[in-house]
Amino acid sequence: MPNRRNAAMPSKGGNMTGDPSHHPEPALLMEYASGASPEPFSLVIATHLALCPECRRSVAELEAAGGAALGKLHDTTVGDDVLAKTLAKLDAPPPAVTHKAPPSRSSRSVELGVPRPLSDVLSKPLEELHFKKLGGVEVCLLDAPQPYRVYVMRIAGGVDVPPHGHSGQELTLMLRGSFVDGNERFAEGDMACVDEACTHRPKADREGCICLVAAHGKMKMPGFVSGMVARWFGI
Amino acid sequence: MALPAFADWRLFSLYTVEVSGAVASSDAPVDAASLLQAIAERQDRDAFVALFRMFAPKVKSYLIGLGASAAQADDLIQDVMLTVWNKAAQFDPRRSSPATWIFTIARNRRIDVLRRERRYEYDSDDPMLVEDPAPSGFAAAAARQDEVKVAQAMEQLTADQVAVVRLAFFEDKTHREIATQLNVPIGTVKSRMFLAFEKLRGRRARAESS
Repeated sequence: MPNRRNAAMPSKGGNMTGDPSHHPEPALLMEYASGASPEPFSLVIATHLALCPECRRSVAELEAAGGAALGKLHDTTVGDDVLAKTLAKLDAPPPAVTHKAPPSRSSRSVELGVPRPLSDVLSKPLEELHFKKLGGVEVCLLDAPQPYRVYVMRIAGGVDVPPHGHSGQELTLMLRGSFVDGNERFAEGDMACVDEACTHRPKADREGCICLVAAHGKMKMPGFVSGMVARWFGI
Repeated sequence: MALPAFADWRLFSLYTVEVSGAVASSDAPVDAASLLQAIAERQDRDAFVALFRMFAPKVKSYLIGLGASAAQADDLIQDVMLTVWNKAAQFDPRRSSPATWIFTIARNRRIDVLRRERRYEYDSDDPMLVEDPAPSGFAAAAARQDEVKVAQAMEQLTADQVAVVRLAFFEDKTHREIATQLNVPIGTVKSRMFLAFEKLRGRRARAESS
């Protein structure tokens, strides 16, 4: 397993140089910029953004489109009472310190070895999470609103996840190592997006991998045993 | 489903003041960025009132378009404008226009208050963030968006592309929900979004090469 990474020094052989080769598709970035993304997908996309300057620029572009469109909306009358109420609140101290990130939270990301916002939702460093293990596959479920599943998955070197489909969209962000799916290799910082039309069989490269997954609905594994395994993992 | 009035938002450009342009009621043209600066530097209430009059009616249209009642919209406008007041010092004109900055605040407050969900965002001060390899001045310039230019790029979109962008931004619809609503395959919605996205990016590529 690769060592915990320092952003200032990209890991050897890793792809954390700010140049992931697999990005969220434009529809997902547009949903993120507009605010339509469901919460679990916003976690995966925002963590990818922390690792991908190119997608950060794309989101800034799309937000600018949102700003332009806001400026073009027709006016809806706002009563003077709304302005008066707002003015009356100006002198109240702001509810919390309005600076962006308390330094403690940022240093926590270094401690956990993953960028925010993922570091905000993990209790421990990636490698030390409480995984459920079966064969070469380990799963640690994170909190997610129904019907979503969010989990960290660790796949041992050379192991493949049995062929499976999905009942909805699934976003995967590679955090450590890499896997090959079909003809494509997904390395650190890369995002893989599949939907219910797709059945796939990702296989970890020799050093194994750890990824963050957010899925709408459950994994669909053909066969009784595989299905039992998916249910046992809770994915 | 009938399209809401702002579906043809391009038409409204003839009637609405440019948000970065003059305030109709004042003598001298005042731009929103200067108002934000006045709020940040000296808690200027007159500047705040001018900014409120400029943006609150737009934010209200945005919120109502996304399903808020008029009463909810009025409450949320106070929330959004108070956030603008408290965070004015964080507005960076090198990174975004005032309209874009206020759009992101309205978007986030709505998700928080009305949808009761968390919106995850990256933290540009996070030491684990992978820095942009582009020189910082260049990156800031590339990030700065002129909404008039973006609006021009959006006017090059086809009606189909405008519809998917509008549904995404102003009806809070995912591409799957848009496909259902328009009764077209998901792949069609994705390709329209892709083409719209490429045109918006193409505008940037041209700006960089010129």
